[in-house]
Amino acid sequence: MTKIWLTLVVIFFSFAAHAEALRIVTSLDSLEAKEYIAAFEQQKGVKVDWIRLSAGEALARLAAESTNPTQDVWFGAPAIEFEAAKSKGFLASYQSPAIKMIPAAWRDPDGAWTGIYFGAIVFISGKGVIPPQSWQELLDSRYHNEIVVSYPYTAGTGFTVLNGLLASMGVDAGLDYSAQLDHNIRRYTKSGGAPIIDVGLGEAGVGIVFEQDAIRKGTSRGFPITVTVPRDGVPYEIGAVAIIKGRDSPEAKTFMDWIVSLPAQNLMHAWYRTPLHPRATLPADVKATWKANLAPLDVAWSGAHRQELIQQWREQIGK
Amino acid sequence: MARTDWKITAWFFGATIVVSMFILYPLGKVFGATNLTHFFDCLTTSYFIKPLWNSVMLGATVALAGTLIGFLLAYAVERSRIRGAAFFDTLCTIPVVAPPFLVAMAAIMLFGRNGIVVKHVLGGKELFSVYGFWGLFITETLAYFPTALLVLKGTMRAMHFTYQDAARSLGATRWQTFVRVTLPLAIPGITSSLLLIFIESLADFGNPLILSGSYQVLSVQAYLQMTAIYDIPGSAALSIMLLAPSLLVFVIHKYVVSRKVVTTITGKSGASRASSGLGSSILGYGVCTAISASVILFYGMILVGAVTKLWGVDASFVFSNFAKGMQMGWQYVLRSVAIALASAPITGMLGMMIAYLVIRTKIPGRSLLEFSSLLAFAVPGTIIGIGYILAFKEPHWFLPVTLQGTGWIILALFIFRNMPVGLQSATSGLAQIDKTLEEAARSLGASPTLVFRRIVLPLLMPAFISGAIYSFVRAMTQISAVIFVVSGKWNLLTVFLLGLVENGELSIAAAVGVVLVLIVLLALGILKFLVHRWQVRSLVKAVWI
Repeated sequence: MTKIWLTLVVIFFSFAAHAEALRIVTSLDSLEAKEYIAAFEQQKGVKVDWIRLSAGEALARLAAESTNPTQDVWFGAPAIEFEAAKSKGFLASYQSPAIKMIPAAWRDPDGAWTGIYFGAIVFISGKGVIPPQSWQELLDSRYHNEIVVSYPYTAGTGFTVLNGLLASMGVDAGLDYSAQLDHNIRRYTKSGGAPIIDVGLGEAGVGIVFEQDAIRKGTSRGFPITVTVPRDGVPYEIGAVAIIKGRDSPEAKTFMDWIVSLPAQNLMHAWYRTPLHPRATLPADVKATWKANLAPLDVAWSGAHRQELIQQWREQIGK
Repeated sequence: MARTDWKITAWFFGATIVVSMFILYPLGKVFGATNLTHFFDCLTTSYFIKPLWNSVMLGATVALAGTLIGFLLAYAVERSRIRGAAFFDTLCTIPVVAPPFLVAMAAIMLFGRNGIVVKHVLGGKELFSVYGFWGLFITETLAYFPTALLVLKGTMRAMHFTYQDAARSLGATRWQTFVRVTLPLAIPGITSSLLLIFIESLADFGNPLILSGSYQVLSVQAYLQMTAIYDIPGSAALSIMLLAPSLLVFVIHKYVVSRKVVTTITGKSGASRASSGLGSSILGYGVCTAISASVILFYGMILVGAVTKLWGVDASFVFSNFAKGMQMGWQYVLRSVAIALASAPITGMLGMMIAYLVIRTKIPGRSLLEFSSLLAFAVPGTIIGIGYILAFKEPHWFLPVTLQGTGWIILALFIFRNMPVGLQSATSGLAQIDKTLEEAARSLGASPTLVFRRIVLPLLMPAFISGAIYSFVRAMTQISAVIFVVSGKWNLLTVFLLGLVENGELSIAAAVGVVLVLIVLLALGILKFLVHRWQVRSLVKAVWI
């Protein structure tokens, strides 16, 4: 019957038709991103189409679409990932008075990306496990087959850990340490937050994760875990946002200015993130702030050497 | 067929064009991105060779176990006339309905070192690590045996039982009849099922993503290479490695099937349903009960997760997960259902047409067409996903619009990725339909298209329905390929669900998973009802004429 075919054709056309809106790729988790984006839509009256992709997936997508970008903004991933995108020319430079409210140390000097939050790596321990206090303690045999951490090549978290270790110990010593740590690793995970669930469910003893994730996905949910801050160097990330080159949507700039503004930055503490706006409210319960013994971080250097460092790690560990 | 008329030729060209555009071209884009150097780099890298071996071993074991279970179930449901067959049948469609990673979560809750079974039944002693071969074996067998069931049910239905009747009346025992008659007749279906499950297992990454632990599999490595290291050439090389075993299996399949094909549906005489003996009834009940119990155990776990405060930690009863999940995800539900509904009939029809062209015509290049069609299924979803982005991110001379970012690309991906299943079941169905039936119609003056419409199509209805149902549920539950082509406007429930699982929203994820299962079961129920009410033949007419 022609009716059925007609119906199909109508369905097809409804697929093709779409209104223009600001397109955001976010590597924050869906629930959190949704809240920021909804607030932005409401406060600025801009309609947003958005999608959640992990940093790696987002970069792969930017690369695949580089000749014909379909997205306007990449929102919420470690700055190191943005360096990779910047070096491949995927990002548009943007600076404005609003963005200058963020201290210069936490922005790209060329304006390709802007920091929006700070996050530190901590240890989490499950019930009945002695919480480790330092990286050296993690090598102890009591943690044999107990530790879970994400792969440095699949998760921003995993790379932040590796990068911090290599930066504070030196590349060779850091790789040696990683190989020793590997003896105690129960499993590596694809996503950065997965160790929280492993430890929370008692499937592993110790996890290495971002503190904001540990609190939000772990302790605040009721998972029985303890957070400890490594004494001998805290790897950390600067979470960033950037405009993707190509579509030149004016709303992208509106979003950039808004996300660094006080109203937006004040949304972050509810998600246990440490915002970078100097006057923004800091999250309660967070143990590792920038006052902790931070591992050195050179975003541009690490971004440029990312592949190399990961390659060396994979050769060393064989995974 | 003696003469091929122009309509059939036109179909063939049409099918060739769409298959080239939506399967070969995207794959070519990916494979064009690699070269021999990369390939040999991978072959000499330990962390790629071990996963290859792991994948093949896992795929082979899962294919064997899944097909065995599927065969026993199909036989019990279709032939043994056991009571409650419909109930068992429905229960066994559940695994195909839910996204695999929820089963993986259930496996952790049951068999993890802190899981219910390990803690309360085994007294804290882990029999095996759920993060490894055994965890994957269990979850993949549970996830993919329904594929075998669907395929073999089609085979069993298409199998008329005059031969069994004849064997019985000539004095063969039930067992002899089963081994000498039923089993050989089912060989095409069994082989198809082995092939499909092996490939499904190889390409699966939802389960390994959560469970692979130290037992790494190739699909995950290819996926990580692509999504995490942005190494398209390396990932393409890995997928060639992943493709090799699939191709090998495919070749074996062709060889075995072409030797063992037996046709049972001819124009002659009516057929009866075989009655079943006590032994096979007991076996049927046993298998049905055991499998149903496993399904209930695993999916019951998900249900428990959906109504507890924190799955695995806080078992206090709450109902809010459903409200939260739906509040966050109702628009994904609508999108997923719309796309799945649109893709299912097209997928089933296309698969059937290609099967007909391949089996019943002598057009040169038909095996190539079949092979190309099957590629979309054999290649890991990730590769297809990236291929679709690379291929459809910009307009072409042959396709003057940009598909990327629209619902079209998702629809196309589902159609071509799921079509091979319909193709397979139509192929094994066709292999059983004797050509003389069509030849009789031809000699009475019917055109080949008329023959297809009036004779082949009605006989292949079970295969078509299997194909369409399968494609609907896959569209609702697939993630590996589609994760690359979704966009802010066109996002799907499965992608949303994976985000929830990865971010520790275990109970909300479970609740959304339950809703997903219910939607699909509801849709299947409506479809079955419509098919019964509307009569299969008129359904075919409505779609076709």
